[in-house]
Amino acid sequence: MNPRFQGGVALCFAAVVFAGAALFALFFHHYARGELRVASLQGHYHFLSPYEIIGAALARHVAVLSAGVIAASLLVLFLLIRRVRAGASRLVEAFLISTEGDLDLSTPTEAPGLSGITDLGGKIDSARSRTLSRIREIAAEAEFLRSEPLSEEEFAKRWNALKAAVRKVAP
Amino acid sequence: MECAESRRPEGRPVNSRLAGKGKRAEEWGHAGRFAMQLLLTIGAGGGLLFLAFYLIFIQPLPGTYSGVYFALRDLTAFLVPILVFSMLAYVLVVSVVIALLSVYSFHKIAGPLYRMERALENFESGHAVKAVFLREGDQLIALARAYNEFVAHLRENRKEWLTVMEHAERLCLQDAATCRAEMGSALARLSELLSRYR
Repeated sequence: MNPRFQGGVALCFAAVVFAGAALFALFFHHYARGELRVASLQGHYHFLSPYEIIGAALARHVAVLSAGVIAASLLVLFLLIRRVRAGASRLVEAFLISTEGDLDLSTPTEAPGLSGITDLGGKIDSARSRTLSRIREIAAEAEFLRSEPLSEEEFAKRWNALKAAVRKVAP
Repeated sequence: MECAESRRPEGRPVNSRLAGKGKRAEEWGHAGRFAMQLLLTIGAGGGLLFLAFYLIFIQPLPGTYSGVYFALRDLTAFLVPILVFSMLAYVLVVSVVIALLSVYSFHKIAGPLYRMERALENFESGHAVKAVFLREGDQLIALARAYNEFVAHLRENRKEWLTVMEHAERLCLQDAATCRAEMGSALARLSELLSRYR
């Protein structure tokens, strides 16, 4: 269970349903109020129940509501899947550029998509950045050991510390 | 447990185009199932809404002229609360059902995301890094595979860096006179290897 991701998806659909319901209420209220008022003044003696006055319009409005909400939900689903796929592709790409060619650990992932995907992109960037800083620390220490005239004892101590630092990369 | 992130048998060619198509079909099949569930839920919600309004509006009108007039006028006045209450009930019922369906259907994406987050937190904390294995049918398998390859690549490089240093140590044991020079060249080689990262 990932509340941010699944909750976000559920909220998207809830917003669609709410918007559909609000539009239905608005249009049906406008129509039914007019029809009932006209019927109460003019043709009320023709009808046995209010359903006979607004039944057909009610069915039409409910059908349009359902069709509209279904269409909008399917569109939302399609967009969600596209965004998840685009975000996931960007995350995969971030790992690929870290292992191929220039071994790029610094270019930000900038994954588009839902909160779960962007959060993961941030964590990937953080992990890559930490790895790069470790590698740079090791490189700086190696350069220092190579260039500075240290005593044998100090050199051995720092050499062992450097080996320990290397072992900490992806332990 | 069968793992989706399985290793390819040695020497067996894989048609990546077909595999990609199969994966995509599976993804869209998963989405299609969810779309069908959405369709049924919203359709049933619409049916229930119609039934509720039918039960409200089917109440018979009084037989007298004034009775009908006042009944219809009262209904017009009460139309707003009737609609507000009905629509809130509709939104609540349909949204709750869709939320449950979303949680159920999207766990194949949410689960791998959660596992990847835990793996990356573990990676960052400096603890022993483990490969991420996903369950059969999970989405984002390519992401888990890319992460595992990233970790494997780093480990290979680390092994290479340690090999350079340990080789210098062995040479040092053989000849103490050239020890510092061997270590210096090992450090130069190490710097060269590390400079590939940016």
